[in-house]
Amino acid sequence: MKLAYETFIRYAGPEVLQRLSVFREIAHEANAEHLLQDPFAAISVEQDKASDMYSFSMIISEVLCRSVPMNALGMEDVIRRVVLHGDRPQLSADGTELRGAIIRIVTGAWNPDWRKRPTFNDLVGLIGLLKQA
Amino acid sequence: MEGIVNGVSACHAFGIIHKDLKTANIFLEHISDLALWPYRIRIGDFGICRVTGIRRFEEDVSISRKFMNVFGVSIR
Repeated sequence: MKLAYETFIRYAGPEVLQRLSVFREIAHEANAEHLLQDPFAAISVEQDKASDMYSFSMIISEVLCRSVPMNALGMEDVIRRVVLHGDRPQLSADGTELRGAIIRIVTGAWNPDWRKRPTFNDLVGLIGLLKQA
Repeated sequence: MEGIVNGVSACHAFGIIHKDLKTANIFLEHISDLALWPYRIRIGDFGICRVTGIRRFEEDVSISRKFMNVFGVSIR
């Protein structure tokens, strides 16, 4: 069970991590109480969809890097880095247009502000355009 | 990538939000030896998914199953 929870954290968006009880201590340590979210507050459908988009960006970055996102870090360090510092996996371009386009999609999909992430419907259109090019 | 995007897009369109997307929940089904990409993407583990809308959960899932088959996506 612990393993599943630790894996979940590596793919969960910052807005999800901010609701976890473990984030409470991290926020107090870092004097970042303003980032705490009410764990019982209603979550909008749009926000949940955007969280799926963040998880998707982690899946694609895992495929590009061939390693689990922030594999070397423990659970609390992942939360600290993702929420407080806005860290994301390092993606290197290899000069090809396709990889560059994928990296642009991924970086848009892990935007810290969930309102600014694309929807999956947007990506369906984008991939259609990429296939035509 | 396209398979995952189409699959999750279909889920969202039918009011199902996965909430636990990760590589461990993406499956490749071997469908043909002849195709250039001989796999079909399947998205699994809807254990903590959110089902929106006014229909009952069972109704939503059965409707989504029916339509997601059209997109080559299945619920496990």
